[in-house]
Amino acid sequence: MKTDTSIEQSVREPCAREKAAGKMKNAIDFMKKRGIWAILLIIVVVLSLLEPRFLSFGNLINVLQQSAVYGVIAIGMTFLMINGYFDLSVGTVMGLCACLAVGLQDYGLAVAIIGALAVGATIGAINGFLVAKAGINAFVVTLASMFGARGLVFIYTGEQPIVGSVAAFREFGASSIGFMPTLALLFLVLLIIAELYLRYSNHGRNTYAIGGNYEAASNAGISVNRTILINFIMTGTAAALAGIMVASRMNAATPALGWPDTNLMIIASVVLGGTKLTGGYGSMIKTLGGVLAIGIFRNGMNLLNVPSYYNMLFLGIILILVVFADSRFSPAKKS
Amino acid sequence: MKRSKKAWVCLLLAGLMVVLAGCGGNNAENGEAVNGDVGDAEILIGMTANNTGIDSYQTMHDEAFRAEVERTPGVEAIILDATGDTMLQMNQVEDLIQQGVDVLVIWPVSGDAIVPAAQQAYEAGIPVLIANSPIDESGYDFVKGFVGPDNIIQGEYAAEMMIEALGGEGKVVELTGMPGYVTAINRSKGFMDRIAEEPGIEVIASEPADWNREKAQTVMENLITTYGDEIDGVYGADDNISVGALNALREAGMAGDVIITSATMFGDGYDAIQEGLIYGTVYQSPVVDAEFTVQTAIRIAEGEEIEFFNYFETPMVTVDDIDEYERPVW
Amino acid sequence: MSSDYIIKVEKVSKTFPGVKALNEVDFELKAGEVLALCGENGAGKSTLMKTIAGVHDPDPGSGCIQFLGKEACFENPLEARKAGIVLVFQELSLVPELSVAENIFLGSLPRTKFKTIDWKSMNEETAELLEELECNFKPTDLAGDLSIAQQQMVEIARSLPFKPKVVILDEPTSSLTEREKEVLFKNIRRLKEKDVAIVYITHKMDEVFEITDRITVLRDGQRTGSLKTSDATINDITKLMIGRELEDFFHKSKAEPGKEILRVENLTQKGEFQKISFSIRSGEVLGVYGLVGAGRSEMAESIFGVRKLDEGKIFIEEKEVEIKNSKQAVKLGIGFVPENRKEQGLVLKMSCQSNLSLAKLPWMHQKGFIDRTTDINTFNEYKEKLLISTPGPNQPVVNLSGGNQQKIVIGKWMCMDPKVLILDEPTRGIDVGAKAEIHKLIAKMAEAGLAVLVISSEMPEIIGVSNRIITMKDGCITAEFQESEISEQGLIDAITLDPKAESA
Repeated sequence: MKTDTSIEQSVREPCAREKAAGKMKNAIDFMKKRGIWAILLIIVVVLSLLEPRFLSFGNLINVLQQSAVYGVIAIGMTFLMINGYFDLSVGTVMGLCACLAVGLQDYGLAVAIIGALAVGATIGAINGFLVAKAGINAFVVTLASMFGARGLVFIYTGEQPIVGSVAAFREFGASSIGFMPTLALLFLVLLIIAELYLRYSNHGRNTYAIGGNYEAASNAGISVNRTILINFIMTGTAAALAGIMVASRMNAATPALGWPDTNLMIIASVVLGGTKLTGGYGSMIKTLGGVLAIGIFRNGMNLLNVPSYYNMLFLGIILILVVFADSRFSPAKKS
Repeated sequence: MKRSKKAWVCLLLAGLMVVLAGCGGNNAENGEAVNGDVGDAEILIGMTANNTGIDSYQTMHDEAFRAEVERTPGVEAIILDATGDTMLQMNQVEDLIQQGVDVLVIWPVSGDAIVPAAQQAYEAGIPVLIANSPIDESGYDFVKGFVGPDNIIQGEYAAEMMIEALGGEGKVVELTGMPGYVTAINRSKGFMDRIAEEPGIEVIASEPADWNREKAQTVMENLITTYGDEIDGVYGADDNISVGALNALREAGMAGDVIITSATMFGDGYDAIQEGLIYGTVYQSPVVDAEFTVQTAIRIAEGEEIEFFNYFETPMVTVDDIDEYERPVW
Repeated sequence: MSSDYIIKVEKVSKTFPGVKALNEVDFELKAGEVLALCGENGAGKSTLMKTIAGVHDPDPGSGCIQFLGKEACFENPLEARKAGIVLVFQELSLVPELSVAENIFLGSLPRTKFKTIDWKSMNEETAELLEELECNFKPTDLAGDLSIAQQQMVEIARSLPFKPKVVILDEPTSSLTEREKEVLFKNIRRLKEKDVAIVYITHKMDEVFEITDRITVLRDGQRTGSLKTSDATINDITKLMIGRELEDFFHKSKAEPGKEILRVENLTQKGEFQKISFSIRSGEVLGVYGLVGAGRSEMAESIFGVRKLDEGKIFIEEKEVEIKNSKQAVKLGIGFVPENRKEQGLVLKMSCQSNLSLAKLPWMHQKGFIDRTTDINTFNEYKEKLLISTPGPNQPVVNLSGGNQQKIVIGKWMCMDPKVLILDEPTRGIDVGAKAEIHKLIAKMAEAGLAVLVISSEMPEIIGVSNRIITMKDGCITAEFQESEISEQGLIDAITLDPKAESA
């Protein structure tokens, strides 16, 4: 008995309540699915009216390049947030891994990069273990590792910036493939892979399941702890990769990298995209929207010579507006 | 109804953007550059500051910089603030390159991490002037020059005053600026190198105080707990830190007994020197600094060849000659 | 003989902290039968079923559960489902953001040879399952978009691949429409034909008689009886559920009703309740009887100002008032003892004394500080009046028994000298002894001149405490009974019959 949508709806005999809910649902769906792109469009239109140079090809590529680093972390964070958690340590883990990626170059570039990734993954694993197995609140755990990673940076660097010694490393960060900066391309490729993985892999669907209904997922025999652990590890690794990317762009790393607001900017861009803080809902494409919106916004404010504190203020206001709209439109009172 | 709500959110967003444009507009009324006028200016300076607002020096510098641009006909500037973030500063340099500025002034957050950004500007044909904190030597090829105070000299001055006050004998603690920042590193280097030449003086602790008065006070309190009367002298990387340390000493009843020297004078430090609570400091005016920077940038934009290092005067000040200087308002 | 039973439970106990939920309970289920499991709230129905289905472990050494003649102890619901026992929870366990097919295969998604999810076969298999249950939605629909009834079908459908032998439905119709109920019953009969045993937990007597073959009644964690549906009457069941004569158990206000205190006219909130009108006089206890979901709590909440009314007027002592929030309601002298005291009525970690003075706080403080003496005096006064047993005023409420917690909630309002007190399910989750005390309190409050509104889905309670009863179904008042007219059958009819038929 396969029915198409229209028949099915007529079969269901909606009462007045359901009809109203249906209308509301359309609006919600619209906000959910296209909200971020509407915001992005407004930002782009307004900016290009105010500053014609904004729409130049060079500047757009510039924005993409600048968004790549945060974007990579946001990929990891999206997994984690769909899972129903978040990670406050990504900023300082990025800083730590940037320093390692530069500092370990004395032992060879491969060691430096693998070392940085391994440290990021390990911190992610510790976070994940404490949250999933020990059952400690993610806010507390990742807050602790945020400070922990910052402490490690200072210990490792002796509070000094470190400069890279391998030419290839520096060249990689500045290189382009065609017109596309390599780092931006790396971000986009990872984003597509992550979207596919999220959509089509077992792990991806389990992530949605746990974030959407923890009990149900657990009752269905999904290894909940393992999934959470993996997502924390992915987030930590993403932060490490972002650290390597930053270090490669600057051919140097400073201990203050990623401090103090990188973590919140990344959570903000994922939320702005439409992924829910409560879990169970979101996608990489949304995250791309959120990351680009913040990247474009910052770029535009710079082009417009707006002092940076306004910049932060308005970002804050936009974020609250979006989350407010989200809470308004989401069917929270389902029960 | 729900749709109208969405529209409402969008409208608010659009409104925000207009307000933002308004912020730029206000600056224009003060004679600042706004993009619309950019084309009319003969010289467009792009500036990315280290961290405006984190301390009074940088705030004053920003104001004086803007004022000097306004005073000078035919010159406009886009002034950005990297808020102490190396990555953000790199992005800002890229944005300023996109804006096609005539000369790029960078007050580096990190002298090392800014090198690739300077290289990008160099490759885009935009001359770069490094202000206030030096760029790493590997970046020298990409910049026209450096302008600012000589932080190593300042650290040395502070050390000399310390040695003088202690009579060449004693135990000293050092409170440095924000870790990782060139200014902090150089002031510390100048101080430590000079002290090292003096066998009677021992530096028993060196802790970061982040250019922050409260932090300095907390750190000093801890040091007092650890070392107590052993401390004969405190060197603060600037007066914010020294005054914070002084407050801690005051609470411990040790003010006046411990020699304090500092590498940059602020208003409170001026008062403390007059009272004899701080022994000596170095007079570095952000106004002189900013004006000198703008003028040097203009010279570069006009195609003039300049010296690589352009230091402005930063004299030593102690209780003896404090009255020759005006009290700093920053 | 015992081999006839697909499930046989002997002397199983289950203790939760502070409560003995199951006390050496016995239970049998035969293949191909539909068994009604009846009992008051807190009688242990859900606990028993959850113990069988592996959600809870029975108390160690307390008897055994046999499944298909073998002792069975499932680690988790998944194991139980694989063995053929399916528990459809009252609170459904679907992931709202995933599709129907994904929910059905949750935990064991089929994969292609490239290790990606095999959407095609998953959707096809799901479509077959849905067809088997005659469901009118698609495998690709999001679970969160389905109605509750459809979600139940998904729960049942997800068990079909495991060839279920037992399906347990916990109050499945509590939020279903009549039409959806019919579909459910059809599917129950279909499963029964396949020799699947169904346990049907319900409060609704009409459904018991419509669909079940046998009835087992629990009370206070024990089985009080098992009988064939065809031989049973409602009276039999009620007696087994309550287990004692109502007269000894309940206390009615003997006050002569005085002047009118509260009157409501045409209260309506779209989708929740419509055109509710009634009045209460001082000294009177008005009972509101109806099933969960009939709109009773929602109606009460709207009088207390926590829900917005779309329409309707409220009069206090003949004066029309507007109540926009609970603060105004409290000012007007309305007290509200909510259905869920732990979430809505108490700050669990705060002390008894602080909780008691919570509502009175705005009146008690002096220039922003709490007057400790008044605070303690008030507490001691009500501790005596309400017979609250607590080690001390500073004891956190969370450590108290349900009955004493409820007394604190009631006391909180009593010290405000309210004119009207609304109690929503005042004895839910409270043991029998304490129930009687709460009932006594209700009568005493009315006798002291309050107008009391009691909402309950426990028939004996509502009959026992009310001077007058109105019944609600689907958000409408279906009948009103004066004290002399109250009868069990009358109430059951009033909450099960179609409201339109009733009024006709």
